[in-house]
Amino acid sequence: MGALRERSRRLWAAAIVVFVAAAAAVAAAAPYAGAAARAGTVKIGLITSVTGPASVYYPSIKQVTQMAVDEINASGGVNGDKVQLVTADSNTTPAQAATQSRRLALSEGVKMEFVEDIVADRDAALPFATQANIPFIYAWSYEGGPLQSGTDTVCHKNFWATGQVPNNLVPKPIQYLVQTKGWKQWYLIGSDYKWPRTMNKHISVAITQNGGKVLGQEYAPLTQTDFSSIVTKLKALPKGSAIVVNLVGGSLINFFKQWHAAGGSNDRVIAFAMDEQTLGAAGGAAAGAWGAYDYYANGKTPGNTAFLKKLKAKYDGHVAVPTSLSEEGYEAIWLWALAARKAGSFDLDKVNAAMTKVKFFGPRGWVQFLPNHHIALPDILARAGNGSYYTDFVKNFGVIAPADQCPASAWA
Amino acid sequence: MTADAARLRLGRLVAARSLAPKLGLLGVGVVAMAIAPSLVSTHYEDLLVQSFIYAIFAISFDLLWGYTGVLSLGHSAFFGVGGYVIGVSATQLGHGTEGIAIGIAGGVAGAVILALAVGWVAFYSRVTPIYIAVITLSLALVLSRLAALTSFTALSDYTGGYNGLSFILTSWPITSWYWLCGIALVVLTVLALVLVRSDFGRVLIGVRDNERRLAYLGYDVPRLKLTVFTLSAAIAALAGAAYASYLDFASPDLLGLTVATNVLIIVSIGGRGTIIGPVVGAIIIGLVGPTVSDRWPEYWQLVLGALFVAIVIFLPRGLWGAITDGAKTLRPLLRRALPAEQPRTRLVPTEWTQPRRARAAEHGASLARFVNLRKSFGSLHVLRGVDLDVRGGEILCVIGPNGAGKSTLINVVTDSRELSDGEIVFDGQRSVGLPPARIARRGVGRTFQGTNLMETYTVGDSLFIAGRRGSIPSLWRRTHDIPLNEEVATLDAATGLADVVDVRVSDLSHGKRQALELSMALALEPQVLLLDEPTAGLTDEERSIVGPLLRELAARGIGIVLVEHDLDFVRAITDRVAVLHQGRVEVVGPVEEVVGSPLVREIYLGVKS
Amino acid sequence: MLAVVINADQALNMLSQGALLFILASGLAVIFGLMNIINFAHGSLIMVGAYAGAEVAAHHLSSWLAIPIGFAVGVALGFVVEVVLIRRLYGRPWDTILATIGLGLILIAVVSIVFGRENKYVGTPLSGEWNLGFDRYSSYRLFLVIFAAALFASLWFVTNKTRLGLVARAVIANETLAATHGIDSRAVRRWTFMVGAGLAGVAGALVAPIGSVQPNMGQDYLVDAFMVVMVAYSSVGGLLLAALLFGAAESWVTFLTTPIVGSVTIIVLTAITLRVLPQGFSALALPGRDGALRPRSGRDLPTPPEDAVR
Repeated sequence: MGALRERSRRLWAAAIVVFVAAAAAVAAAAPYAGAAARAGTVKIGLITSVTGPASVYYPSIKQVTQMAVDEINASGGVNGDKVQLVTADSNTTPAQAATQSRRLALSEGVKMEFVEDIVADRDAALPFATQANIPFIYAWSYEGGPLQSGTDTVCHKNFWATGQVPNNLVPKPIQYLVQTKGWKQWYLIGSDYKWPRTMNKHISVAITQNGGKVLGQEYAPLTQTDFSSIVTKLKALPKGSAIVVNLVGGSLINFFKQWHAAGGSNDRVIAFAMDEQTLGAAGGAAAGAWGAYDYYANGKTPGNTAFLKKLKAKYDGHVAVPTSLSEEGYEAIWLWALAARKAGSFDLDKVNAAMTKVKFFGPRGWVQFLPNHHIALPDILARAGNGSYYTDFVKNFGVIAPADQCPASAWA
Repeated sequence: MTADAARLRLGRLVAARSLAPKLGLLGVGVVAMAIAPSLVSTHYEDLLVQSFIYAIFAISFDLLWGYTGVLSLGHSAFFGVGGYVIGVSATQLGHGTEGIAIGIAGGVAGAVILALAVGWVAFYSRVTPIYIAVITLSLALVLSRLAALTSFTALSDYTGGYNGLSFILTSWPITSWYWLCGIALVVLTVLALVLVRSDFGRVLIGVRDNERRLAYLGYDVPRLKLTVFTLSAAIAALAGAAYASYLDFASPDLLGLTVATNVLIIVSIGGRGTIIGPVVGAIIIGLVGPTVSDRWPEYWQLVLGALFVAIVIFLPRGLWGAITDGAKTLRPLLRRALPAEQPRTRLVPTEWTQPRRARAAEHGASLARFVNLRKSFGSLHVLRGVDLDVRGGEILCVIGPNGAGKSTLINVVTDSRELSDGEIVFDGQRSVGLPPARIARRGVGRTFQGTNLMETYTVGDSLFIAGRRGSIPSLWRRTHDIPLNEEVATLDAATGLADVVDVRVSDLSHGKRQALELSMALALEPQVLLLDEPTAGLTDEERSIVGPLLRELAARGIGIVLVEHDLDFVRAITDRVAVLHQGRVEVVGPVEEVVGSPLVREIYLGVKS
Repeated sequence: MLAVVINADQALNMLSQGALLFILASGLAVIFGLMNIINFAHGSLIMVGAYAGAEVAAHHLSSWLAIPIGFAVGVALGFVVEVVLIRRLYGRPWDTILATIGLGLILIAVVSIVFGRENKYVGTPLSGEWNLGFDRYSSYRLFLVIFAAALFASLWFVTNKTRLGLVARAVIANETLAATHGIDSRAVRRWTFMVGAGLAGVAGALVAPIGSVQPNMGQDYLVDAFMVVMVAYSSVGGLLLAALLFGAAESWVTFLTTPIVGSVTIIVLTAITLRVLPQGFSALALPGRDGALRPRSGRDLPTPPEDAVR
């Protein structure tokens, strides 16, 4: 080895050592710098998939949650403090969601944690929020608690949900499709984790109760991009079979693109996690497919009209189409803020007690937590258009009260 | 204490390759660890607990990769198994002592069983060296994907599928975890340091440096690798159990490639083969990483990746390696100012300890017989039926042109798995289909053309390891008085090797390397010694030592097979000569007869007489 | 649904999956075969190629342009990487594995910074189906089969029938001897790496329309490509056979069971195959054996002094 090369090697070595020494010094100093909240602010934490398979929902989540915080601060903040939103990326991986939950509680000192992310990430984030005595709002539609053969992790006094649960989402649309539309034979696919599995269980029950028949089920990992084998199976189904697609995020988009490319028809396809952001990303491949939600971006309700106007004022020119999955976070922040104002404190028990006592006029109309920690919500069946919107609102089943998800003792 | 005594102590610390400086450093670390909780916020205490657990994981990886040279690209498999088993145990058996005890024991047992299975597949077969990387990567991928499997099997009833397992094992405060993991880390660091500095540790470094040569010295390399692999897996499983219990959570990510890559990066940056480096690296990265990446995740990944690449290229021994190397260059300066220290390694001449099967009275008795040895590489036949016998007390020289198959002959005799056909008998025992270590332990020593040594060993290490003849030495003691039989002692004294026992092999001159090569073969105390051009590259003076030494060895009843080109040297010391040509022995006989024969001239010069 | 064990559609799935695997693995195979190093940044290079494709789509250019542009981006990146990184690690194959793992992380970080980390979706240059008589099948996947066949033919032709291939094989067989014949072995290695990286870029441009484009997309592709290349070991024919067999197996197992079980198929098959045949498929007497990228003798990745010695 030449002397010159040896010298450059040594220089490099020295540079690396100096660099790392500096980094170590930063690490040693960092604990004193302190990430504690500035006086006069209260932090709330959002765990969501900024990246990862479920990140398709994020653009709108980002806008509407920030808008809620800004509105609250403009109306005087909470208990004299300005609200600061800390967004933590789960990357749609439960392990990272768990880590981020610890960070939000320990490092950021948030006073409320809400999750707009898949249930796997919620289940990972929830235990630490529970231990840290922080109110926890799940601002997404989910598969329900143990009383509806769902998840028992949610049965804790600090857990609140602003999204739909199976009983105010599944039975009515399925009954309509089986009985009125005459879809008798069904095939169910989904992403391979708890929400699609449990949802498909609820859907199967509803199909069978209404006299339909489930031909089979099939699950693919959240990260799956190739659906050729599944498409082949779907193409081999008896004519007139209906398909439930409970894939999530990127998988859902890739499925629709491949299904569409293979000449599959969306006339008898229904999906329960296909919001407007997904439709936009699928670029028309999902046109004609069915969906059932509590909120549509182009819904003509008074609450939504006001909401869209504010959104346009704030993000004019680059508004991400709001969706059921994003506006549930908007309302979650507001409901917590109103409860904390009413309680006059950020204490878990006081905020919990106030939660059911406040109501908010949001995009979905008046929303209020019931004693069972959930919200009565509309259920509307619709068909997707060629762009980012649902265009054909087939049937509105009205507002349905959520069933009890946990034994009442869970909320004590 | 007088000033002189203090200087002497300090001199010892600086000059000796002793544990003391490292223990001193460890003391500083322990003190820092003890006062840290009162200085930092809960958040950093939390990060420190996770770092300590990662540091334990990093130690397990360093033992395997840094010391034994086995690169596991999927070490997360064992970490994750530890985490999952305790999670399943806690959810199925409850959070009591039973759940914890069975969880920890089960996780370690599971990792050990996996490691034994994978290690058996990887180490006890003739797969390519990259195979261990392929199979460990495969293991991690398969386990992490199966753990994420929610449909299709009942597995997810236990693992929770993609969601993972949330379980609350203890309600200990973070500070309790801090002390538990901190103390465990200190204990494990000390144990690991003792292990790698023991005589057993020297053997492991031999596996890393040159496992092939170690096998020819009689060491059962696959078993050594399997042992360390299993030990490493068990430690990784403990770390995984602690990690999952601390976070109350086990998910497929624990088993996946991100965790596997993280530990690889930590150990590389800290310094592979140093134990302390990976521990320090795990703590620094564990503190800086989350602090930076919470705000700028992409930039943190960029910096970490760039640092990792720069270290791989410029500082293969990592940061700790760079620091100790820097200290080494300073050491002579300090040494000048301090009283000289006696070298700690000493050679202790002993008797030849192995039984000599051919006693002086039985000179001429057959020690080894080769019958119809054949070796083919595909359609290329290198050996086409070689018959020879090796007699005690004589030097048999094999000559022949390039490509005649001389080195191949030595290779198939000392690794008889390589033999295509034929019969080898050592000392009355049929020795076909045996790996090098078994043959070496039957009393067959060899040297290699050129040299084939453990480059990071000292001369003393090399002689010690060779003299152990494959028996596994102490796990905690380090031998400084190296027993050495008279023959080796004579050779080393004559060649000057005895004066450089503490010098690294890579720093030796060519002549000394050759002498060491021969010394190691002799330290094995073989019955049959196969030498592949032992005088190549030696000066005349050095050569004049080797000749008489070989005669001396023969006189003691050893059978020597010598592959040599130098016909003058052959004439001077050989009893019989065999001429190998195109894979066959053309003629065997007394040296004068053969060397002068027309056949030899024809083969060497292509002249038909 | 096990009633339908296999049909024409599924047979085409299996074929096109094998073809895709061949395309994904070819760049890695060229570098491994000619340089005897494993480029663990291959997945990230595929990802960069996919972003090239996404950029082409974002600028409303013809989707077909993605293929040459993906290649060009890969080649250019390959040049930089070879000069900055790979060249310094020549003779240290184990350290090359580590360095390319790090390089993969760097590329992911840089792409995240430049393009953001959200998923992007790219349209296919070919949409709809082709009617094959016995089945109607996705035209883009059929195009992948044709592309793979053309790629195989070119690789085979270049290695066996051109002076370039001869020179490359000479360098592998005996570098010193090749140098004495005036062959610039450094240039051969540099070009090899550039072509390998370029092929990764092409693969990225080709997979972009059938998956989500995002910074971490390369990992799964890397794993599959790595496994297939280990099994193919050193022959182009072996690579084709391994890709077709393993791709078909993956697709078939997915069809019979579930995609996760399908996704471990390649990995498990590789671990078993290499245990039985350490030299992979190049130990078999294959028709494509003459296309050996590297002579069969000699064991792979001997631990060289610089790697082990510290």
